[in-house]
Amino acid sequence: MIGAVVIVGSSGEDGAERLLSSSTIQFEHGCVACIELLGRTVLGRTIEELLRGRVDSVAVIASSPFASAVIGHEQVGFFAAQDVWQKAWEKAKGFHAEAVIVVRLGAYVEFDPADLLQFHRDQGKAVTRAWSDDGSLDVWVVDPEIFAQNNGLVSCLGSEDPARYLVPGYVNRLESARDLRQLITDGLGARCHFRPQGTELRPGIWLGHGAEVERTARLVAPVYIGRASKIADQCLITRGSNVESNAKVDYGTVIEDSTVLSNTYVGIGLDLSHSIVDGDNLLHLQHGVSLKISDPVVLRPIRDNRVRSGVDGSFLASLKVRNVAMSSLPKKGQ
Amino acid sequence: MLTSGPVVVMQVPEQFNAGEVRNFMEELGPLLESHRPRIVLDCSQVRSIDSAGVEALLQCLEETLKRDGDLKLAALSPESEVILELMRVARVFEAYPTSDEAVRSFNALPVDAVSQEAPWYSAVFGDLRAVKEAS
Repeated sequence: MIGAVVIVGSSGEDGAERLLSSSTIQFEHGCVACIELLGRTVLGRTIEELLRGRVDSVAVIASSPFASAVIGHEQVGFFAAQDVWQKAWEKAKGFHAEAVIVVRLGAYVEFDPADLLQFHRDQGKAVTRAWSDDGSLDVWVVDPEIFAQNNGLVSCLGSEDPARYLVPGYVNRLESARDLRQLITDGLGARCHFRPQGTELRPGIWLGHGAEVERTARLVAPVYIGRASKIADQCLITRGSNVESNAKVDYGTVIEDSTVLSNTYVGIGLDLSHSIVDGDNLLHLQHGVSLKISDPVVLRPIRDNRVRSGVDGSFLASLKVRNVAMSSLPKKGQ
Repeated sequence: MLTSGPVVVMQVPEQFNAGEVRNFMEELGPLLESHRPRIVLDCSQVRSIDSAGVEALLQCLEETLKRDGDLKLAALSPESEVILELMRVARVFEAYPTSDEAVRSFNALPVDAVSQEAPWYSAVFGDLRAVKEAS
């Protein structure tokens, strides 16, 4: 039996910050792993890959309840906890598995769990850690035998020099808003498995279920329009932009090289470029500016008629884009 | 209100929104009605600007242009720049890093210094006239 613990949110155990390879984009109530991107959260995609790769049971430990919205599988349990590492420790021990995969989100890492487990067995070490070309990743395989010698998951993961598993697949550390945009463009450009959820209407033009695009609106590939979102007449959406679920882009607005997160209204006749918007928050990547737009005719959160988007609307509305540009913690081994 | 020769420099309020726009326009009104108004709006104190603020800026620009004057922006914060770009008006305004530079830009090309030379097309039409007269 193979178990997996997926940790979402901040660290709560002493030494966790030192152990973790990087910080991630942190929002007020969670992290980027719980935000729907190209129709699906990083958390949802990670769970799917784990289940596909011989993992029998997954425990998701999150510091906020918003992550629970992505859970809809009998092999997956969700546990909210303030001290996510303590809860993860309890769950890891409770699996009684032959090996436990520990994943801490939110970097997006494409790895084959079966290949990782085989590598772990071949190396014969108690702990294996995943690496990419630029440093360690927060993905481990742990033998349960070492649980008895430790008093916490963090000390367990850091207890000995782990075997290094070089991830052959795509890695995006999601440390900054630029990384987030890069993930979107890589996904739309089929440079990774982070593919849009929906139907490819024409090459590079993706529509989620129930998306409405008015006749005179123009979509210039590559773009993604999420489910139940609306694009009004005379709009132009282009250059790798994504409009996530239940968002509305109003008449004549141009969206270029930008991300509109779920449940966001973008007003009439605007020119949105190189930005990430969430409700009434806007982060401009070129200017390096984050601001809250107080004018509801320009930007605002959509609070009613909400679809299940993987996260709660209040979470999106409370996104602190100011926190998006995060300083990286030193990577272990660097 | 500060003046620097014929160019007037005016501070834009910190919260340039619907509530502040009215006072601002009342203060600026007499100036806009003068002949060839040359105005610099110093935005160094602006912390937030909404659609009413942007509309007021456009209204001021329109009034100055109607009277053969001009309006320039100075010391725009990155936040204000983002708003102006978002609302598609950034390219409409001439913007300078400081008020001094904005004022100097007026002096560099005085309103009276409009070229008195004949426009490029006059040569063509001049030739045509000559041909017509010859025929």
